[in-house]
Amino acid sequence: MRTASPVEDGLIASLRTRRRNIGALLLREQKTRFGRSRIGYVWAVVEPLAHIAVMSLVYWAVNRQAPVGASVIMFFATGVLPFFLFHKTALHLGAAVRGSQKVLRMPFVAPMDMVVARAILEAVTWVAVVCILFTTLLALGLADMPDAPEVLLLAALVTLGLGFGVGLINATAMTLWTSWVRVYTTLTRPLYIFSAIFFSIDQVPSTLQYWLSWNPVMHAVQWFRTGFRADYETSVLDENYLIAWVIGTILVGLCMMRIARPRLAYA
Amino acid sequence: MIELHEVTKIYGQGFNRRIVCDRLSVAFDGSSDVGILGGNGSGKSTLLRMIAGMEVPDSGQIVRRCRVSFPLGYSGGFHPNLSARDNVRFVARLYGADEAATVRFVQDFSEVGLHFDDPLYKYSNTMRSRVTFALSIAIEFDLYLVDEVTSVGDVTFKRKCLAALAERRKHARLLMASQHAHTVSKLCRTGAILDGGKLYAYATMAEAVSVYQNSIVVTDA
Repeated sequence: MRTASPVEDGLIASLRTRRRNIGALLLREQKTRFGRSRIGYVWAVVEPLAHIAVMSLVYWAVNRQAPVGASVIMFFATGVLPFFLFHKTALHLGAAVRGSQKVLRMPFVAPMDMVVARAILEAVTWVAVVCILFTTLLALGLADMPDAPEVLLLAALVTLGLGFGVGLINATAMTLWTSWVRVYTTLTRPLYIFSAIFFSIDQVPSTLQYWLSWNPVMHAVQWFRTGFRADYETSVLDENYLIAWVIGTILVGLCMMRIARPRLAYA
Repeated sequence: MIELHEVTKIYGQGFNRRIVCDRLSVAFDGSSDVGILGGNGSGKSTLLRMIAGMEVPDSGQIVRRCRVSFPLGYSGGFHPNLSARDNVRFVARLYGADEAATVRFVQDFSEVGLHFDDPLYKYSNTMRSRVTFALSIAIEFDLYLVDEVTSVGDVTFKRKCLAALAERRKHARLLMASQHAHTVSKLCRTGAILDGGKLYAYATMAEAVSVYQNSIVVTDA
């Protein structure tokens, strides 16, 4: 009646093991994602909402117009949401190995299983948050339907890829060097400002524009915005630059994880 | 059943460098239960963990041709914020075992009653070890790994555990590791000694035990 997994060998069998592990981990992570908090997933919606609300309130108080488009709320929402997708994915994937070493000592559970399970969970959570927020805004008459959903989807996918690549690097770095958590958060804190979430990149001086264009997250935000408004014209969006970052970080992350693999579960 | 080819495992670097397994090649054919004897820190647990697939050797290969358990009573896969039910489900899924049947077995066997749905961090040590032990034997394996028989609760429960283990042993084998020759010799017929990264096999348990006990006397003297 109770049978354990059979002996496994070869590529197909190993893929099957990965799928089973990721499936099991996904259900476990999904229940523990917010610790002991009972209303955990409410925070997933409240946090970006608070960011959007506070900035909209400030703009409303000083009576400023949205930099692009008619709605201030929409402008911020389309900036905050892709940023959160990158930021949360990079952070939670980063903690995937450090925080769950005991599980990784379970037979045949590889660090990569955990990373992939968390990436799926982050993606699904984010999609749910986006759906909830935009349905609410649509119902309140504060938002319009996106002009190019396929661009939106592609931009989100690539942003997730960047979060995955950086998260992969973080996962190994945080495990081998505990202080990396602080170094990383300190280094990336300015990204929130540098990603052109609260201003239009096309309205800043060209020198500043040049320096900001090195930031891949800024391109992710711009890309996401073009999906929402067909008339959103920007001269600094370079999709290929962002994609190069995604491929680069994933490659570096995979190499780091492979090299550190024997040490990860016991570091 | 299980073959180890040139398995090497080294902990630490420089001055702290310790060789746990030194190009170990050995085969467990499943013809009898095997007990591995070794002093404190000789690397028994590491060897068992590598056989279980919990740890990767530095070099060499381990071939498993059967379903190997995790060490009996190992609770590392458990998350303190999850209930015993969810934890058991997780491990059952991990091993591709029948979820409902495993949950039912553990719930009956562990006798924790209504606490089964409480988060694990609320459990006492005894309750927790009951659940872990029940889970270890709930899933059917071909080879059960036992690392140092630890006591699980009161006498009645211990008796129940031994009975369940005896039932499993009709179709499965044991691989035990211990520093006490007494417990191992009661359950295993073949013996081996792990010392300095090398494994020395003996035809009978009695032989292994006498060599093991003499070696302790020699090193102590």
